Amino acid sequence: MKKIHSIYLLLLVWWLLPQQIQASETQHGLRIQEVFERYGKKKNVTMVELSNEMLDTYGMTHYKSITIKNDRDALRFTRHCLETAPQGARKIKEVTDDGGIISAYYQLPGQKKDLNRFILFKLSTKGVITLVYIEGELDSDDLITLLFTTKDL
Amino acid sequence: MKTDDLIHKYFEGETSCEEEKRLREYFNSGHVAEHLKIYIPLFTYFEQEINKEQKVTLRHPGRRKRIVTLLTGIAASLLILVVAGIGKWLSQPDDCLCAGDYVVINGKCYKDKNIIKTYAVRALQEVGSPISIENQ
Repeated sequence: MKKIHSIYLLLLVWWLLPQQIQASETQHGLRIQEVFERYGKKKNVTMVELSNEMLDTYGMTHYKSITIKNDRDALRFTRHCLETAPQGARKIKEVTDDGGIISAYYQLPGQKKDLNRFILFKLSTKGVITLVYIEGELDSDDLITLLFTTKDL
Repeated sequence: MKTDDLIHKYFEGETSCEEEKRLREYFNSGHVAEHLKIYIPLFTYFEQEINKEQKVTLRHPGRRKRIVTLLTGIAASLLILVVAGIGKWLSQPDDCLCAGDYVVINGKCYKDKNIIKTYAVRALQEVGSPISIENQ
């Protein structure tokens, strides 16, 4: 019986381990992680995650984005998560309308040296929420250049 | 030794296994002296009981072996099914197990590089595009 329990335990650990590692590497300590977790697999939502050589050219090590259509609850929740940004966060840009954020770029210090983290947010005129998380060696100038020139990754 | 002496020795409890076997064979042979026929039921009974015991002891290992083989087969089949099931479950592009580079659209996970790129660029272009406050 002990052997069977050990096998079950091993299988459980083996199954949970990659998910835990993945969660701890991305958006560590950020509330926006909850937006990805809560809405990522819902209807009218598109979530992208990249973390390989496709990003090297832009000095990125991790990219994650979520696009949510027509969801007031998601908008409220995303704005709440953005407002509770961690200490040391720098506002590159923040535009509000009627008290609510409609566009914002935040830069956060990375956990490693020379590693920056960015949170980008946009609410379109049609009510589509776009939230992007970027991690990498690029700085804010690189990011702005990237945003206005990107046609392909 | 004569059969009469052997029977006497038997009832005295002094016969060896070999001698008892000889007695049983004699009484089962069908050529028993008239005065000894009264002992036939006794020795044929012993012979029948011994044969029964042998059959039982011979049958048991075979049955047990078959049961063990059957159970082992069932257990092995179940194990294969479980392993195959887990393998299939892990290899599926399941929504809950989407990892690495991916795009999830309406809850469905896609791993195609071009699709992923398209949606990643689209999101970047969207956050980089100018805003129209009047229409908010």
